[in-house]
Amino acid sequence: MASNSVLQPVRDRGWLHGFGNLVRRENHRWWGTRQWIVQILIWTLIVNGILAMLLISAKDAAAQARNEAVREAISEQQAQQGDAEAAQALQADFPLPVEGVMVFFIFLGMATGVGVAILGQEAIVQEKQTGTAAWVLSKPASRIAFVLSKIAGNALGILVTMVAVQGLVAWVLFRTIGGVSLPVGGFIAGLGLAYLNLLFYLLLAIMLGTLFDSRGPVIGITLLLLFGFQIFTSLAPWLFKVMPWILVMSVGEDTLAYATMLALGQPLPSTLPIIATALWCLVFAGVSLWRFSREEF
Amino acid sequence: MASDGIVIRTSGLTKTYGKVSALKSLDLEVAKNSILGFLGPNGAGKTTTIKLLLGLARPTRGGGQVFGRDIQRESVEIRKRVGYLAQDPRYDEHMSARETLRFTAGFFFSGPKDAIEERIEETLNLVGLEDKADRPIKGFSGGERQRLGIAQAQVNYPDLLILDEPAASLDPQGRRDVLEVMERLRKYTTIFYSTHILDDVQKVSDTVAILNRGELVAQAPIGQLLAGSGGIVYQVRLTGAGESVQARLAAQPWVTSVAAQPASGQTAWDVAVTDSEAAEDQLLRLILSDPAVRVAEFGRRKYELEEVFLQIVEGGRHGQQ
Repeated sequence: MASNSVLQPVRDRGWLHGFGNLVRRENHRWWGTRQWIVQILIWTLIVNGILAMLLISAKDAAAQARNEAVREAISEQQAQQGDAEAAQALQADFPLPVEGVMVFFIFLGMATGVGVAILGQEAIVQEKQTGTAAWVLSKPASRIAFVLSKIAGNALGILVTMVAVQGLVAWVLFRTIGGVSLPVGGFIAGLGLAYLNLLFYLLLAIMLGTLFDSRGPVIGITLLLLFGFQIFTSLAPWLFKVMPWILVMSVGEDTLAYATMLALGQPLPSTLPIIATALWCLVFAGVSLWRFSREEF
Repeated sequence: MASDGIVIRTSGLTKTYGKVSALKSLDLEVAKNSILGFLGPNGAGKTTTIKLLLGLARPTRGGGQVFGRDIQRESVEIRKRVGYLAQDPRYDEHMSARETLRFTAGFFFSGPKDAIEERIEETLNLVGLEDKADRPIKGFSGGERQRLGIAQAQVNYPDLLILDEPAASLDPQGRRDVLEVMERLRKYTTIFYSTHILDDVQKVSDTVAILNRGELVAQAPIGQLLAGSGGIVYQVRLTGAGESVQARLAAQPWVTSVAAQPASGQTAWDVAVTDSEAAEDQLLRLILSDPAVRVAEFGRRKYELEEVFLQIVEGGRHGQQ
């Protein structure tokens, strides 16, 4: 056909053909529409809204306890050293809000997990159902590039809107309402584990999207794994070691979630759940690529 | 491009879904710069063939080549030179027509940006969407979607345009516009399009392939197909007693039969001949040599495509090679 010699052809090769263009499309979906604002608002309200309420009520409770302590100190030891103790009590730091950190990571892992499951099922199944996948793949785009662009685009969107922004807001809430400066390094590491947990569900939903043609099984299985951990671990307690649940959930009364431990500067008892979750992510990505390369439209 | 000027070549191309044979051993050739109308009733296997050519589905048996490249192993390379319009084109609804074309162009061109934007503008003008270029596609009518489909199919200056029912959802004016676009593009590209609108095929195609129940039942230049394959037949309508001239015609060595039947006060003859040149030279003269007859109509019989199509699909053999 008559062509324009000024236009430079795309130089992508092999299995990456079309990847750059497809990633731009995914990024446009996140950042070129209102999606990023909507996601940030939803998760800020849910995750940090609950955290803020918890911190405010904890602060009120702490203030009340402090006042009682002051009153007791004044009444019981006023003659000798009451004034000094009362003054010390009034100036005492707000206690480190372990519960607040714990609740933050639980909601960051579970509530946003629902959002990730929905995004993940839309990534492949919706495109298969509407026919846009067939349209895109009638262009010079490899199927591997198609799946990788879905993973990359959504992983970035989730990282920014569900993890980074929520982490920043939470840190500020702990600082302003709670009066606590969480160790930055540890808190970021905790957020990293929460992100790994979300990647697990994203890749799981994408993989299921390549295996099924309808949304039901994709979202159903993903949510079952997200919320069914108590059932699974009651049947096989060892599953906690090879699944992502312990990254954001507390197990029993004594064990904190790994993300909480890192945020509080505590050492982790084991790295096995982290390694296992990362391996699951790789397996899900591998199966997605394998299955989608065999998909027929 | 294959060195012999064939753009598409399939050999024994077969596709089955479970026990259903969607396509049975298709042997098809499409020449460079031709417009091939790919006909067939619903479910004949037209869309399946297109999907196999584009690598959207895998053959069960057999194979094919486009531009001399294997449709399974070199699909991405093939798609670099192809423009495709799906039967029911779907796009990202939140995108505008311009964004859709920019996204499509992004698979083919890396820059410069100004040249890409210029190409997008040209394409929008070609299909008459310049006024709606920046509106979201979700508000587009069926005809506008189809125009956008044609625009995105040819934004990359394809060497081969594959159009699946390009005019199916359009009103008469939209159909005419699509056919005009195809006419304009034919000097640059090969067009392979499926349809069941036989009028359109007759207007723009130079070659026709007919598929029925997954089998190729005819492929021929449209002129040959419309002339029929039951031999050369001349139709004559006349008045007056023509028995003697009828006998004289039947005695000619290049005449195989003369079938006469009454038609509204006249007589209609179907004169089957073996030599069209002899017929052109002598047939009318022979008839007029009899002063008892007056000729009202004379001409070589031509079939309407619909007639040919129905005969082939319903089991006849007109046009079959």
